Amino acid sequence: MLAFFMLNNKYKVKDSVDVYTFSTDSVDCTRVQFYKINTREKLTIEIDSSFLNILSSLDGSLSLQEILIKNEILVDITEVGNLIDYLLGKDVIKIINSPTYICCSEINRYSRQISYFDDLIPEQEGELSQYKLMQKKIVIIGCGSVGGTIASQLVRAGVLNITLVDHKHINESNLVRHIYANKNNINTYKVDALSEHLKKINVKANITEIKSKITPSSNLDELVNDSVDLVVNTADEPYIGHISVKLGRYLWDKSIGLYVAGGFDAHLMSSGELIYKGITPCIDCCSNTFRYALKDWKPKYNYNSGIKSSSLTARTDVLIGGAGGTFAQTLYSSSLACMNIIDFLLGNLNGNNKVNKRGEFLTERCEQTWFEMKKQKGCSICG
Amino acid sequence: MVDDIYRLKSSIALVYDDNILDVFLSNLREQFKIRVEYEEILDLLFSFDGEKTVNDVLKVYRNIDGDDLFDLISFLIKKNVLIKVDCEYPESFLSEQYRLVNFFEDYCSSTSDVIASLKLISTSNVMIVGLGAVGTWISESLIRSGLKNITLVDDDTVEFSNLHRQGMFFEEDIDKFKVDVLSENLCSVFPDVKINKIKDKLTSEFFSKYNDTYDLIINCADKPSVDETTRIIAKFCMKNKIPHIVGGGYNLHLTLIGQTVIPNRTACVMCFEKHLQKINDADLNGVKKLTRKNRRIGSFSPLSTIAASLATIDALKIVSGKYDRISNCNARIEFNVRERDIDKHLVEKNDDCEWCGNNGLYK
Repeated sequence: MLAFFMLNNKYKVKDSVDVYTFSTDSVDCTRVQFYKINTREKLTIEIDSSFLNILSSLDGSLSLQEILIKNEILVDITEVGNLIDYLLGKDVIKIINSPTYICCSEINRYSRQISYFDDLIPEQEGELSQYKLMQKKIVIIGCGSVGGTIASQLVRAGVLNITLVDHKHINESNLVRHIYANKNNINTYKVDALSEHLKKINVKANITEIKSKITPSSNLDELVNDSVDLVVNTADEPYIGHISVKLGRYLWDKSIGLYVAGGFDAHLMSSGELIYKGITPCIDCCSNTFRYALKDWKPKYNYNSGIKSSSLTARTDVLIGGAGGTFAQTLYSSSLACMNIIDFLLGNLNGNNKVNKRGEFLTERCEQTWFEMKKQKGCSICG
Repeated sequence: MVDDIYRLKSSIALVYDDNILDVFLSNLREQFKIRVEYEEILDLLFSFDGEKTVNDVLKVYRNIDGDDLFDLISFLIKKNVLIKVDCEYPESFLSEQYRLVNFFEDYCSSTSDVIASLKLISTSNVMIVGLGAVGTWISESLIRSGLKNITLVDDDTVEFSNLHRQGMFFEEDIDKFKVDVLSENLCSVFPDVKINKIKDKLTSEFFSKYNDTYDLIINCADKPSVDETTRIIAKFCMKNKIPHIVGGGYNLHLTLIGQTVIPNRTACVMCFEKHLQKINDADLNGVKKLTRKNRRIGSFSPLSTIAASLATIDALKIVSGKYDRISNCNARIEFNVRERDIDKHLVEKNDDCEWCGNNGLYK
């Protein structure tokens, strides 16, 4: 049956649904298959061939009544009502309401991503997901190649409130991997150059630059206020675990997420785990997971590699034969991180079973591997 | 060999226990174990410091058999654990490109091989067709890794809706031609980059107009469809024996990691097409797609950049001549978003292929 209000509604075949038509023995009847490209589910129905024009026009721009008039479609409108009801129930079409969350220019800017969010979190309008993302606040600790690329990709995705923490300056060798480094900003502070890059992507980006180095005695209250949703740690000096443990303990009780990024030396294509109260093991259990896993592995390295260069004596970061790294590898780490970070910011933790795992990509085999963080027996924090 | 100099790379982690030498390559994350019955093996290997000759080492470790040591060295070179030091790196390599040098040390047997690889990258000409969510990122990745000659193809301008997923485009660039914006931004990284800009569509006549010498062509164009653009590029490349990469991460194929094709060595585009046709045919017999206006196809930048990342790594191996280390050939590879895993479906080079088979058009 066709309720009066249905004629005024705008309907749309979901963007993630492919529609195929098959001819049948009768000219008047067409078989139609709806194929949900993300979940790979199929729905097949047979309809009056004159309804095909209606289906084609369900793109959200015109009301049902306007479609019927414009296409001069003379059909039994009760049957149209039944078809619309049925397709709504099967989740292949949706009612388009006028947008209330974000303005038109932002819908245009993020349209393709909003459509992706529609599929990523089916129970929530894509626009609402986009709106939520734009309200979140994050802190990125360490603005090297991975921290910089994560910041860049997140601002592109619409994360607009970011605090950047790093004490270093850009040098010539950063051009190889730092997304924001160019010939004109060598020797400037990394946080300043990155901030400028982010504001060029979106003038509305609200960036705070902090030029300091996190040490065991740093006061985290000055870096992370209570309105922050997530802290991303990419600082790998002296070792990413040290800073992460300090951050992880501090953030746990405040119920602020910590994402331990990857992409640092010896883990060039990795991405790390989320630490979040109520969802994942605590930071101490995570670091103990590694400690126990590696307890019998005490490797030796050859650091006296014999490379001598007069101008390099001051450069402690240059180690020939040591850690490699290309922009492409950084991009892989950053991409994995951004998927996980966006899932966290949108509260989509059920759809991702890798939240408490560290990922490592093996280039030579083209394989993605995962290592699970475990709650340790008798842990008084998360156990 | 006695006068040669070798270096045990500092990225190599070694453990020796119970006559087993456990070797871990920390850059590549690869591990292997070998049986070595020699208590001083770690000290011996550490003495390969890039300065001492094999002869110097033999003088210290007198109880080792020379031939055994030569065999071990050859094996460890093959495994990219040792590198032969046959020349010094230029100073600029060390101060500006040491990460690239280290990346290539894992693919090279000698320091001169590393220098030659970087030289090959800087003299190669790579064509990128389509500057969207994948092409922009591949272009930046290659230029930052030392590529100096690039041909960019796109006839479109930057739109507001591109900014969420396309690299190197900013708000100030809206309505400018993509090739112009990208060229300018790539040159701001390295001013000596030479860019050939082509503002044109990829049609079947395309390569009769732009028939230059290319060392690699990467297809990142999905208009009108990936299949059509890939066919045009693949035909030209097969005819001229040019390696090519199907970029992946396209509209409606967001999770596809593109395949790499080395003509007549790996499965070609037609091998893939025929193989996939067999799988798809049963499903899609006599079907038409319903015409729909204003369809907004979903896109998510981190998925496209994963495809861009993996295409770039293969591209670097191709232009530096490391064909045997390519990882995305002979397989259709998908990144599974929910599982965050890589799914691989093997596609072998087909002897009956109408393009690259024994009686093929481009054999």
